[in-house]
Amino acid sequence: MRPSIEHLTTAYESFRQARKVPSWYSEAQDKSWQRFAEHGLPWRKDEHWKYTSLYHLAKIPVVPAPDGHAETGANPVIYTGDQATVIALANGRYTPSSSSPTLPDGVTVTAGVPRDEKRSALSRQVVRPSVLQDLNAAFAEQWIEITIADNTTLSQPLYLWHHTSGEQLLCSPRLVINVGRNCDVTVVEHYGGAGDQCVINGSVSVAVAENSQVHHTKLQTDHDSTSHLINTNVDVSADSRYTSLVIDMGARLARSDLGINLNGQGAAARLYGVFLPAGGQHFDHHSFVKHNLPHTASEQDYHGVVGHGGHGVFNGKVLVQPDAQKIEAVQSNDNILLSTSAEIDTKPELEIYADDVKCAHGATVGQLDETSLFYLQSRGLSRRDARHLLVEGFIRETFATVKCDHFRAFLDQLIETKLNVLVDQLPLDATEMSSSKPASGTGPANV
Amino acid sequence: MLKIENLHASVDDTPILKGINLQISAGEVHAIMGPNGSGKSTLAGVLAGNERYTVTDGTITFQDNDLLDMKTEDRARAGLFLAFQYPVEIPGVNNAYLLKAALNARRQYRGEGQLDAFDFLTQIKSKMKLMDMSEDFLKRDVNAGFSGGEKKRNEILQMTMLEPTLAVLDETDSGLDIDALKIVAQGVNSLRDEQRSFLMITHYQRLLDYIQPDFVHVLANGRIAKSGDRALALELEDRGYDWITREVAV
Amino acid sequence: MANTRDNMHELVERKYQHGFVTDIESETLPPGLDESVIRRISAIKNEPAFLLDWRLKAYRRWLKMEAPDWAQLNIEPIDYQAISYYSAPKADKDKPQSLADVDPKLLETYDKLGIPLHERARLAGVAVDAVFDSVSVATTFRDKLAEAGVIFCSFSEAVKDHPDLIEKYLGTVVSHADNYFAALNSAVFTDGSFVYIPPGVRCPMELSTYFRINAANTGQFERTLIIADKGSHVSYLEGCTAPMRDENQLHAAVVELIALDDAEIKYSTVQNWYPGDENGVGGIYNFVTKRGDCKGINSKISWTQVETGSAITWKYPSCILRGDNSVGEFYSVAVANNWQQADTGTKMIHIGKNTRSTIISKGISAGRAQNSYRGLVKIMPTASNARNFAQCDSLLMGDKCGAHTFPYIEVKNPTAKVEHEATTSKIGEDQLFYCLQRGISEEDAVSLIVNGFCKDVFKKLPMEFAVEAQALLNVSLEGAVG
Repeated sequence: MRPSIEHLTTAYESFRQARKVPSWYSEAQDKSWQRFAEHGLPWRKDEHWKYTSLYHLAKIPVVPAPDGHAETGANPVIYTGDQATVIALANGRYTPSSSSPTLPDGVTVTAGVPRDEKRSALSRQVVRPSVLQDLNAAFAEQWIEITIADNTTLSQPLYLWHHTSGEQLLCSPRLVINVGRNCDVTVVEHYGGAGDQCVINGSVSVAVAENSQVHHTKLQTDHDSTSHLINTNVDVSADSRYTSLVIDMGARLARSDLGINLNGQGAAARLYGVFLPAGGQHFDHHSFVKHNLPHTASEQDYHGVVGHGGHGVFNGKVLVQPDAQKIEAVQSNDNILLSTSAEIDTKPELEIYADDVKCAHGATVGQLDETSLFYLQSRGLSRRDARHLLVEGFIRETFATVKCDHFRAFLDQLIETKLNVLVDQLPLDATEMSSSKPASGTGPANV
Repeated sequence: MLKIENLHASVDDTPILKGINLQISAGEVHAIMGPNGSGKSTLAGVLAGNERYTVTDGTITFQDNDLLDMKTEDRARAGLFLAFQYPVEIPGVNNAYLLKAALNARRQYRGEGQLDAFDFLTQIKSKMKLMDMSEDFLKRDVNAGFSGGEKKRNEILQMTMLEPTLAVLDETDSGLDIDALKIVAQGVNSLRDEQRSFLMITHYQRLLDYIQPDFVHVLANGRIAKSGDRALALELEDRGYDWITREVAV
Repeated sequence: MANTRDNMHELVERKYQHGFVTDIESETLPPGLDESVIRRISAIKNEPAFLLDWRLKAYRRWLKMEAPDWAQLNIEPIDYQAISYYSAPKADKDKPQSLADVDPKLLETYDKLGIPLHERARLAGVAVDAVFDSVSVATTFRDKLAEAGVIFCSFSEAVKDHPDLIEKYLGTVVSHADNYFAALNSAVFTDGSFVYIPPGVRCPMELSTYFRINAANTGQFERTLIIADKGSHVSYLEGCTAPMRDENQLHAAVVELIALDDAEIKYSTVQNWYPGDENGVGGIYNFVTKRGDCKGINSKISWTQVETGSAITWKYPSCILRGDNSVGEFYSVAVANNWQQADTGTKMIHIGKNTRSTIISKGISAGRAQNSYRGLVKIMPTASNARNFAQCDSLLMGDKCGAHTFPYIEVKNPTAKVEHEATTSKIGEDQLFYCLQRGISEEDAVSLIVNGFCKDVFKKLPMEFAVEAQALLNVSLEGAVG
């Protein structure tokens, strides 16, 4: 049975009475709600929710995040002063008072209901439509649009600080990032905060015009009772390169849908991901790259380390449209299971309708290499530290794309903390992982 | 045997060969030398019929036939052999199978019967000995997992089996150590006679110590800039290519 | 390769070679499906009550089920009432007692297909069960097999002669309600092959079943059950062909394999059902459930398939690796040309400790065909030290076809090691040029490269059939390169 939408229905009823938006917008919201309500929350029989359940979410009596009361909390520790341009969002709403006082040249931020002429944008083509986006559209009162003018090169990252606070709130951030031609920008979205049992159901659209470079990192350190559901849709134009890095550390449930349209010749996307679920956490990455035109390229590399009680999911898809020739696409997902109660489900897919392509994918699941552990121990490291080192090495290569040193140092620090948790949960006994050695007769004789 | 006149060829609309003239008679060994990017490999590719190259002008006559009018496989069957600079790997297809298919295609073209399996084996084993190759080579997949030297030796082995009338060796010596080079040279020399001609494309003079050419040509900027005998190769070894490139530019 | 397209047209004209119809009097039930049809089939076959009950149970379940739609297939709705569920060559009331009683036209049919059934021309070392439409018409070498204690007979005979074995094992691997097509098969299956290898016996020859659909508007629903008792070994091969008809015909088979301790079953398929014509008209709908249960410790089940026929293929030969140290293998070549659609792969379910599985899948797409690999590797918490390796390669020939890969990997045990690799590319132009430069014609070069691509799978087939499979591949793909 599908998860109940009873609480969401109640929430929508109270929301529609209180909302103050133009009528065309409220009608559009009602339509979105209708679409959502007819379908209901996704569940395991929907192919893309085969491994991720939303039943717990149905049990939370959420209310829409109210306007005007939220705090943005402290800015992330490293980003004070001149190291980044902070754009703060509290429970999905733009909060200028907590943001950097000035924006760099070429960058503008607006927030509010979009003007009527942008109506068409409500129904724009997404790579993989989802009912959760209908749910977002139904509740989102404010579109936060970040526009980067042509020929803008930013020396510092735009740091989008998504702060969640309060209890059992439904936050529906809607973010639109338009990058002009010939730009080179780094955007960091950082989701965090202390909200208790909050549900973040966000929608992020990124459009990259010709010949630009965009580095987009999504760092997620939400409270461990939070449900984090973010759908990111990216359109990449000719000769532009979009690089994504998604890092999941917090939240109870984190589901990231990342859809990429490669819409111009010479467009390229590189997607990297790190997920470190443990202690009841469930992290799910769904990526989908559409090669719509010839001479487009994509690369995906996701690394999962699943600790005690963690569940990781990866579903990566590459679609090559008919007549999109001269495509190169590679996709890989490597996973390490650290514990007997860790679980991973991975499904790397290729769907190819053109013939002049070079596509490959690979997926592996395994545990830390016993020989390497032994080697490090023989050099004097404790078993714990040896594990730590190997896991760190396993995920570190993914960070190579982070250009900003400050931010990388910040990431290193966060990862370090998370890894300590992951590794310290494990029993130190060397044999616990291989409780069953190969049956006698197949292994070396006992001496 | 081979007559190239005013040959122009390009890759993706970029002209590479800009008027090559060359004549090779039966029994002659010609060496073409030249700096990187001078068009040496393009010439080899055009001769073999690689569709990457577009011939924009000129003619090539091979044994009184219009070579440019012939399909790649027919050029091969008529006796033109190209030893590839980068021999291609074909997984799952073993060397013996490829060679047998190639030999029989050629025999059929000439109205000869299929080669008897026993004769084939006897023949190839003696050639393999000459090329210092072990017998398990026959069962291995074409060039798959071969070292660079093995691939080049395999090219020459195929050449000795197919007995071409004109063999084009595209940088067969590149990347070979001295022992491998000697073996390759031995294979080539074993085939030399008054009916058969060779066109050796090389970057280094060293090969010519082991296979003595009758003529040496220098290719620069898509044209034959200078022709001579072996002494020219030695001069190039001493002085490099720059002086010729400069001469051409003037 | 400018002139390829010219040659192509000419070569595509080369027709399916097994498309003839045998003109023979048949006894055929009128089209339609209800409980009375099932009772009638069961009555014709004189079945014991337990089997009729089982059929009805399956039928009632089937009525409540929906046809699966998750595969990457475009299927016209099937009218199950328009199909005849039983068709058999009219013979004497009783089944032929010996080959002498078999209609000469039938023997001729199998001769034409290259499967001689009569004594003097039999395939050396291969025992054949020939299934024609709904019934088995002959099984060769039965006496010789009986000497070794091997039971190899039609399913109907097994129901009569070995009801205890049937009752014990039928539906234990693929239950009557496993999936839509398996449930339909369980309700209406008519014949098939049965094999039992007693403990410690190495079957002295290859066993083979040859399936032939002949009658129009019929479906073929056969059921094969192979039991390898402790320490036994058997190699089994099936082949399939059908006449060329403009209507689609349904083939929904079930194969169950059971390997007890230390037993090994090698199951090979060369599937060459009529694929439809170059416009996608006609052809067999091939919806097959094949599953093996490695019940015993150290048991092994190996599936090898060469799939060149059928308009639609929906098929996932699977292994349940229940016994400790058991081994599952899946080697597949799937070719789809013209308008063919294939969605095929495997499931490897690791339950026992130290279980191993290997998946090698080679997909070739040409024309306007769609070819998908779909596979599941599942490591249960109990399967310590499980290992899986999967390699799925796709080769594209022509710019109108598609090649898709959908691997599902589910791991619940940290000591498992699972590796999946896949590549998709077109036939290499540099490889083609190399072969052409050696004087090999383009068709031969393509055939050489494609056969090389499939070699890892072909070498797993029994010798006699590897040659047949290669020839089949060449016929299926002739002229397909573009």
